[in-house]
Amino acid sequence: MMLAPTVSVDNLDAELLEPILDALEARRLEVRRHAFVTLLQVSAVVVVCGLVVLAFFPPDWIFPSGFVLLALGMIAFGWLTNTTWTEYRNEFKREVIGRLIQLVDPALRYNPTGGIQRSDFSASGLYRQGIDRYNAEDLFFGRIGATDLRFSEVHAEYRQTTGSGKNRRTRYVTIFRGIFFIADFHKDFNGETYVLPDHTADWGGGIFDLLRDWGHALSGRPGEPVRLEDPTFERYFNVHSTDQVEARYILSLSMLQRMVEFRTKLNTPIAIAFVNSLIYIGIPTRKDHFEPPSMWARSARLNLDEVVAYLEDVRMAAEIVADLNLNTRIWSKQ
Amino acid sequence: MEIIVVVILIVAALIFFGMYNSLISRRNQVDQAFASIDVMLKRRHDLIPNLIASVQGAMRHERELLTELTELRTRAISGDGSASDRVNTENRITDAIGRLNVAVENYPELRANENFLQLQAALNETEEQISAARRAYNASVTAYNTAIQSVPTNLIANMIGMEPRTLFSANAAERTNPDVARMLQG
Repeated sequence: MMLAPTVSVDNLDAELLEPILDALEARRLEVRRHAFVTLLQVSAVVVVCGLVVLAFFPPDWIFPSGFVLLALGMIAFGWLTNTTWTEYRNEFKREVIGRLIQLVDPALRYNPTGGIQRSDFSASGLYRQGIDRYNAEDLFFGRIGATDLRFSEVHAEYRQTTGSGKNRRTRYVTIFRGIFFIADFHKDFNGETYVLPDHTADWGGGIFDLLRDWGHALSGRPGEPVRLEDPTFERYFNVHSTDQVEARYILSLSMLQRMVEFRTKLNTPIAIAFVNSLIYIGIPTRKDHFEPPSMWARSARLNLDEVVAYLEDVRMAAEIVADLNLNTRIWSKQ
Repeated sequence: MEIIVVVILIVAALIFFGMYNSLISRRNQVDQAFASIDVMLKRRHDLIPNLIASVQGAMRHERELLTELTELRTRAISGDGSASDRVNTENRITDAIGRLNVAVENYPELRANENFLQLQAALNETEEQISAARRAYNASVTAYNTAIQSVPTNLIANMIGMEPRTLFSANAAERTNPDVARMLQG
């Protein structure tokens, strides 16, 4: 039943891929040349305007108008290059990421502009801070084996205002940034169970367990702490559930082990929620996934190794399904 | 001076009530967890007659096993005997169902029988839930035992006569993957 991710560089059809990669690199270089030409043109206009200011305006105008000219120049440059860059980026995603996902599983679909809905993200209950700005892109969806799943990049932020009057500052603080994954779980359940990263475990000692439980009580998340048998699991995670028995039904001993392995492999503080018979996984990452090489790079023709690096990202869904054994349907959900 | 004494007394009383209440709530959690095991076990008892009915026509060589399972079930629902007798009976039921699942492999007609497969899935599901309920029970017993043995809550526990509870020891078969366990037993 278990679907092992067998995709590797051997499955990549090099002969098919090479001309596509060449064409994409040619497109990128064209975009780059266009950007350089635009930069020259915009700079020339800015310099001419600057000279006019120097010649005809009083000296105390020089600094502010220079600043305005530079800002206008940058906006004009961004606006003029954006279209060509976006076209190239879309083509890259369609040709490279779109093809790679077909390789992982032909039943998976990719939508570069789609994303996990904000309501789905909130329904997980993983991140309880109110969201003020939400972006999601690179949606993958479909079915692997018996498991319906979808995942995308998500960036959720809240607005923070400090000071008052003239010193009033507003900035956006990240709540979550990374890959957000939603799938059918292979067991039915009614309650809510949260497996959250444990930041206090490394400080050691029972006193922190107490602080942790108080922290939970303050967070407003439903349920009570669940203590599980596996010490390694307890070191990485901190579990809360509205139903003690159901939490252990979901988190079977083998599941605990799988989660520890998954967490160790990713080496990032993942958070998992079991709500509405779905599993939600938040994998925080700093990297902007599924993006083409920089416009400014002198030469960025992708070699096969780099394509494999993209493949690793794309393959994440299949790996989660295999790692957490989501396809085993021996119980109620068949 | 008097005020200080009164404040100290009030604080001491509050701490006492807090500790007492936390002990009681832990003990209730243990009882509740135990009751949830009972619920799951009862569900299993309800499934056994249907299971036997659906296999006895086909299973010609396992009469003894089926009789044993029926007797064990009767003994389990009668509720006679000590707690450890009951645990023993339930463990033997788990074992008998395991052997039955292995024996089924010899009867292709059963493996193609939709009704039987559904029952088997329901039983497997119940086994999972029993195991979850036992783990929840053990976790609450551990928390309760720790509380009644630690200072200073042990003083209150002694006063109201709270005794440590025993943990359920899961048998080796439950700790390994069910399918592998069945193969080993067969």
